[in-house]
Amino acid sequence: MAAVAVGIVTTILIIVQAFAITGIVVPVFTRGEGFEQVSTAVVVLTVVVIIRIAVSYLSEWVAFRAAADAKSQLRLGVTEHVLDLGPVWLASRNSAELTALTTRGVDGLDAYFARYLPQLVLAVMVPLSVGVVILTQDLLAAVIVVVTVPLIPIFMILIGMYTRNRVDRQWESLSRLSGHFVDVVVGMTTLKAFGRGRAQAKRVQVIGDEYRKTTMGVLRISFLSSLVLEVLAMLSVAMIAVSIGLRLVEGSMTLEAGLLVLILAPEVYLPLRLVGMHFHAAAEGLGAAQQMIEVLEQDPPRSGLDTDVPDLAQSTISFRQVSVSYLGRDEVALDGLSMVIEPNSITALVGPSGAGKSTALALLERFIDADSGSVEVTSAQGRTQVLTDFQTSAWRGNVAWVGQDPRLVSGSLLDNIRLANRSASEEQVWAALETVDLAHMVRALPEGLATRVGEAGRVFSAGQTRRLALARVFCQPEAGLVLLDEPTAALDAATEQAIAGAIRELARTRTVVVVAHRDLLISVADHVVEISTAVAR
Amino acid sequence: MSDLRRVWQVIKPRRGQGALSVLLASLSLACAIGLIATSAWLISRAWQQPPILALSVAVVSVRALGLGRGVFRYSERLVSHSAALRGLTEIRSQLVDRIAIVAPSGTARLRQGDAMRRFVDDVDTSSEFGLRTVLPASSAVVVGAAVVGLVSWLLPAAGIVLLIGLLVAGVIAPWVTGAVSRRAASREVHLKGQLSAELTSLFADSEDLVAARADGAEIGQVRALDESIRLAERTTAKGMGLAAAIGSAAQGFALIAVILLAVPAVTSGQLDGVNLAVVVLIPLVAFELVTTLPAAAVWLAKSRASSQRIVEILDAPNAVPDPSNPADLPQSAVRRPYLSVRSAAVTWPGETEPAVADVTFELPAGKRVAIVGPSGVGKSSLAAGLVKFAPMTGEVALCDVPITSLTGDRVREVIGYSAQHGHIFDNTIAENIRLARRDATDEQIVAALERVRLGTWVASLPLGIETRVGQFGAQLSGGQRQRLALARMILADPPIAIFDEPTEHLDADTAAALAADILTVMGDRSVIYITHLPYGLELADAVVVLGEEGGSPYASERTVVGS
Repeated sequence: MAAVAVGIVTTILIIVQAFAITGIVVPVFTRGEGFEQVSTAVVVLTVVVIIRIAVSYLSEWVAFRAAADAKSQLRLGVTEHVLDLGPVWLASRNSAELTALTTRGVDGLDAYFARYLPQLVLAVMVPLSVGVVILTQDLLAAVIVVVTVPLIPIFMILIGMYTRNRVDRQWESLSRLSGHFVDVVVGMTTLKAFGRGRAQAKRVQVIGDEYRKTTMGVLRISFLSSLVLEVLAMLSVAMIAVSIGLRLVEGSMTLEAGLLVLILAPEVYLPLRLVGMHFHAAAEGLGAAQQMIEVLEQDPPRSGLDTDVPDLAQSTISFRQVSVSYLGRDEVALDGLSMVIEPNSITALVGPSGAGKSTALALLERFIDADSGSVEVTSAQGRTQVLTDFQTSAWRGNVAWVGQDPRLVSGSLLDNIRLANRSASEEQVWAALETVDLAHMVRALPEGLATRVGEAGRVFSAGQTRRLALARVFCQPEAGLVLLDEPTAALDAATEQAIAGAIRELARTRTVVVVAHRDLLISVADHVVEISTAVAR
Repeated sequence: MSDLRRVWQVIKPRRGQGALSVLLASLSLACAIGLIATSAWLISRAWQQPPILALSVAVVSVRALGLGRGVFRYSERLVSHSAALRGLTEIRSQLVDRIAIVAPSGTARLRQGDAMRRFVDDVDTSSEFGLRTVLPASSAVVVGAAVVGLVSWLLPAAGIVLLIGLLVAGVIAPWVTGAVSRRAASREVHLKGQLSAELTSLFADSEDLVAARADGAEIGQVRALDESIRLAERTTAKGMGLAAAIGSAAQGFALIAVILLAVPAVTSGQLDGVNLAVVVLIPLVAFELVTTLPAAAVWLAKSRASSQRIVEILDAPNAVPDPSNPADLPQSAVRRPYLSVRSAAVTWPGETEPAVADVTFELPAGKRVAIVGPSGVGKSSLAAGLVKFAPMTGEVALCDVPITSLTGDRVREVIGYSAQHGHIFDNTIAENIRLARRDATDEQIVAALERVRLGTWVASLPLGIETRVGQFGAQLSGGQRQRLALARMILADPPIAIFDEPTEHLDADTAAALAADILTVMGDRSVIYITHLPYGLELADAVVVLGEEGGSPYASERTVVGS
């Protein structure tokens, strides 16, 4: 809206300014008039200048401010939506690329919001209205404008279509070449270990040269469109100027009309040229925006409205012919699974890798939806509800989860163990650590529970991390359903024994579903469900 | 020397290319201004109805200038972009040169997302400094001088007015933008580095956070950073608005001032009436020279901040410098080296406490020693110290030559190192293994894959060893990655091989099988096998235990390898 208002005012200013300048130059030059006779025109021009100052401040400020706000909205929107889509979706994506998209990709939109869009409005309004003014003064110039202006977008589209194919063809090799540098930087330690570190700078040079040549090949073509645009625009102005000159010599035109048209003609082409100038940068931003929209259009796992989740320790959960396919793949992750999870017991899911054990668990954590079939929850009171009727967040509040590759988040050890239950007491935390056999390890740390962990924090082994994640479960007594994905992987035999005992203990008050590989863990389960339907990979 | 100047020394175009870019950009701008000036003269003169021949030069010039604008601009963009890409390659290769010297200790303190932002975005930003700041500024100076000269020749006072106007729009406006947005633009660069780091860990930790419903707090941090960025950008927007207003005022008032000077000059005969339109219309187009300069000033501020972040990497200290007079190893001994480690300690740069201390063991040729102990006790630091990736003290000698007197490269020729998170490159399986030995044939690569039990798997792939493994080995399972790393080591075949936690993240059966392979496939080579898991220890000739449970985190040696 603001852009349209700016467009209208700008158009009027351009036209009034042209009349004012003509009104000054022509009388002074042709009739030798003095300053007094043209003073009105000078005053008009001064007013135009003052309004122009205000308009340029406002339009620039508003455009960039709007861009900043829009970018912020997109950044947060995409980030939040990615978390709503859940970790299973995220695992199907390259998270470094997602980060780049939400930071660098969003920044690319500056050119689109702040430059391209406002210019696009001007590019529609100015040529039309200024063209009409030219028509009232000089038919021939108007004809030149009418013929050439539409040629500009047509040529640009034609060249764009022609170059797109060539650019697309180069794209893969381009992105591979540009990825090489990052790959070298990240893998430098490995390269150095094999005595290949010193050679890399040279290699980056070679690949960089190749990248430059390929890119220049692309640019040579894509800059063509702006070449055509500039040449068309400037040659049209030149043609108009020459034709005016020739008719003035013949005496078939007034100088007023001639000068006015000469001042206005470049104004017709200016916004078109600027649109062309900002088009490439804007296209880059739009490409990123397109990817973000694709992310935003993905549906997160369905969330119902029911926040009243029954006590899952006392509830029976039934899978009826549940099938799930991998995100973006035709392969089936879970094929027609039917099973019953009995309350207050341990159900072990076993089967070859790739059969869908983790998928079944992700379904229960509401990280994904089933494509067909249903999961039903029957409470102790005999009320049966469909899993997706529950609000996702309320459901997760009643479920404790330890995934296949648990992580410690940035913060203190205490924060990490209380991650799912901020109100857990220190006693509960120590009891939980005792259960997972880590209390003595934590006590030996100089800063104990206050030890910083996660990125840039203290590093623990995969086995210790897993046990710390398990400790979370014991701090979350209100969660009636406990989901564990291979909780004893990367543990030695003695620890495995202790963990299996702790899980047995858990099942006294809760319903436990565990993905199990190892015999010991399977042996403590009350029920074993064999999942082997899908093709093992 | 300022950081930006240092980076500029690296990225600046070769003299010819830079000068050519400025020349072409100037010609292009001059054509645009010349077109209007010549047209104004043409129609003024035409009105006087001279013989048509008097106009022919102007007619031809107008057409040529109309064509020149686009053609010069096209050539300028090709030359300047090529120069910028050359600069990009230069700065990248310098960075890689430095990292090759200081990695891993010199860059270990950067958070992953932040490091990526430096290597990608900051490098890109500063590599375009020439294109976005130097080029527009230089061509504005060249053409601005020419235009002011032309107008001064016609009417000296008008020339001075135009000069003042251009200086206000081209110097003061960008300066004001800089003053308003310099801090904001540089804050923005730093904040975006933080945001990138924050998002990287948020996405990495998302499973645990979402499952625990704790993602809200983390998003809160992202939200706070985002808000700071938004405010910084709004401040920049204000600067851009101010610059536009100042530019617009300079142009408008220059136009009015020129008119106020030119009208009496025509009356008094000082200015030929034919040139009145020329003098009046030039201010309308000449300011195109300076409209991009405020943006150039913002780019200057960003380039400064980015350069600072790049220079921090270029200046990353080398914690393990090579000796100035390196010793060499006796050639005869290198094939069957004897490693002796006495009271060794490793302290990472910037830390006061050693990561590991007081380690003593002997590794005779062809023996296998396992180094075990809980995580965090410093096993990986010990390995890093042994291959001169981290500073090590104590008496550590290879064939009786202290490793402090050897270069890092020389030590690593003898001691091979497979890190816990060995990097898998976005390339083919063959190239990933071949980096261990450049001249390896396909047959040798296949043989190495077979020895790590990946032969069948690779044979089942449609493209075999030419299969690409995806970014950071995304297409591989954890076990496959570790086995690829092992295949590298087999191919490199160093006299001593260190394996750091190769069985981490593997399930027990896979781990046991891999551990057994590691301790057997290296033949008569010496092996240092680092682990906190119990697999494969029975195959080692000796076990060194670091950090007794519950005791001091430092080493207590239990077994000494006998020869």
